Amino acid sequence: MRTIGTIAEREFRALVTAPLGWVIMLFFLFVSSIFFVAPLQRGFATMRLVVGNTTIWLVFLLPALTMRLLAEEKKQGTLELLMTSPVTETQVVLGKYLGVLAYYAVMLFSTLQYVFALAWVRDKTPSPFFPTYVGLFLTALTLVLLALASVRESRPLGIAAAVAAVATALCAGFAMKEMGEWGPALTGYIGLFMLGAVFLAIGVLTSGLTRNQIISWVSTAAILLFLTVLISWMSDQLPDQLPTREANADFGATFQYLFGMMLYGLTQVFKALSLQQNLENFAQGVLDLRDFVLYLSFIVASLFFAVRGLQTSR
Amino acid sequence: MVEVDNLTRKYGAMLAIDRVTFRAHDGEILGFLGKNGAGKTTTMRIMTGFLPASSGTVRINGADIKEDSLEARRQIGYLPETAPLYEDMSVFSYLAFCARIREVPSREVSTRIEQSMKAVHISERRNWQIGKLSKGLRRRVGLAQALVHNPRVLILDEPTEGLDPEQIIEIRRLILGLRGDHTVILSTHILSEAQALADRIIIIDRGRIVAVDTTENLTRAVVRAQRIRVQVEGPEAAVRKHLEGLSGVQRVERLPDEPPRYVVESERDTDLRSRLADSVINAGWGLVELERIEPTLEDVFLHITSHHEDRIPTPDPTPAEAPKEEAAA
Repeated sequence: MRTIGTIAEREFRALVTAPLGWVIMLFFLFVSSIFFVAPLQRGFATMRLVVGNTTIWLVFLLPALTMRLLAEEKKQGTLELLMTSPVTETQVVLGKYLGVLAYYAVMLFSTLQYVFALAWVRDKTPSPFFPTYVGLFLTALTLVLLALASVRESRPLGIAAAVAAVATALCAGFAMKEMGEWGPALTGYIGLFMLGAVFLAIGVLTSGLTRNQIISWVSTAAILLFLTVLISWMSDQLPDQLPTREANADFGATFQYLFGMMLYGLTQVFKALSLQQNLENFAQGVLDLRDFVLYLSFIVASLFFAVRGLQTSR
Repeated sequence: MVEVDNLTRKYGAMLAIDRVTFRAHDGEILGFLGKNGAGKTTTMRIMTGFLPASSGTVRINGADIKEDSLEARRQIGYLPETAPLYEDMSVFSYLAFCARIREVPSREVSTRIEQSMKAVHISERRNWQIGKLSKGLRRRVGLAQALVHNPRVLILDEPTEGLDPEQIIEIRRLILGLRGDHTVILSTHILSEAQALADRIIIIDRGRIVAVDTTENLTRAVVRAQRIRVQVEGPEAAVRKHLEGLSGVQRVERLPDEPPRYVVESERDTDLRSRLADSVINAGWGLVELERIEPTLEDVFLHITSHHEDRIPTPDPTPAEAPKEEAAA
């Protein structure tokens, strides 16, 4: 457990202290802010649209976080350091995954500013000072403390950042409650976190299969694009109804029936695997056990194969 | 003790190493000598658990690197050919990371880091980002990570590669200081390094071990004649004739120097020096120079690797022979 924590901490710190992590975070904030501000100008003040529309960007952004995880270790020879220390492949994969997942949580955390801005726009709170200004200040403070803690490798600063984060979350919870929207906002965040967790797990898997970061990025984005957009589109194109069987069917009709059944089955599989579909549930405030099961299955399977890949690639 | 038995590794159809067998005893420094591509790195990678062997076993203080991999790896400090460094980290935090994954207890981590930084003289660079360090400094950081958990067995792949002469001397001194407390296996293609550091030398050529022994024994086995370099003031023809006439002399060779110098060869166990000196003085000539030519490891290495079939009489230590050899060591 300590080893996993050590590896996760290193990975997290590498993202916070390197330009790549900040570029991805800024781009993520830029994109999500467009989805926040644009509907706002047309009079929709809601978090739902932010959650729904950000998904497609995560397809391209999150692979950039994971592409270097194992590919770089292989290329730089640092995998040799890990694998000749008393560390198992599972610990390496889990440590790296948890590190990058924590960074993704920080990315999501930084979008809490929209909640505070929304509370102000909706004007349901007595004064803009609380929760809006306080919330925005706390969000910024948390990020600054976190960056300082990582750069200086200081534990007290890290603890301070954690305290500030909890205060921010409480403040955001209060703002959401005031708006009467805390349910969908919370499930939306849970959904976005889970979806990101799946994306990152798939990213870890492809990063372990190559030593080239670009290949890792492109292949992860392609898989994610398939699982989100393409699969939804395909299941829309395929028949959604069970084919009917004629009473005295000849060979051709039977064949058509069987083919129809097959397509129907495929549609159902696609629908079940479509990650976008599940996210819409989350965004609408619906927590469905089946969604969790699907997401967790993706995560476990991806990480399992990442471990296997690491074991057999040497 | 490190026990390597019949280690074989194939890359496709190519045999990278072929039935490599040897022992490294507690506290000894074992030099792994071979040309580039001879199989040194492959052997070391298998010994440290990074590469699986096609067949054969490695045991580190009794723990099998395959069956009981974590326990075996706990005892190893390893410096690969290219130092495995995270360039974005500072020297200190990198070493802290290495110490933690090597299970150094939390309260000992900073002491261990200080000690290992001190050992390789990088304490003053503790806050430097590794990516900004010179090649020599990186090599030293790599060495520090191999030492940070105070392992019983150190496996160093070309530890002085890329260092300047002063650093090489420093690192060699450091390695010599490890003798006794640690078992050190180091690879090198520099013969003088193996000669300067190692208690015993393993010569590997084209994936096979061709010799295992101390430098002295290796040279004794290879060099069949004793050679003396001599310079005498006197008439050239007479001097040469005189030297050739001495009993025990097998061959006299005139070196192309002016004034003339000669190399006198005799039986391996015959020391001609005092008799030769006496006879030259008695003949009334001046003896300017008289020196025994020590065979270098270069001679041995070239002899062994160019006479691949003609192996020198140092058998590979098979498990049955190991105790005998241990007693000798």
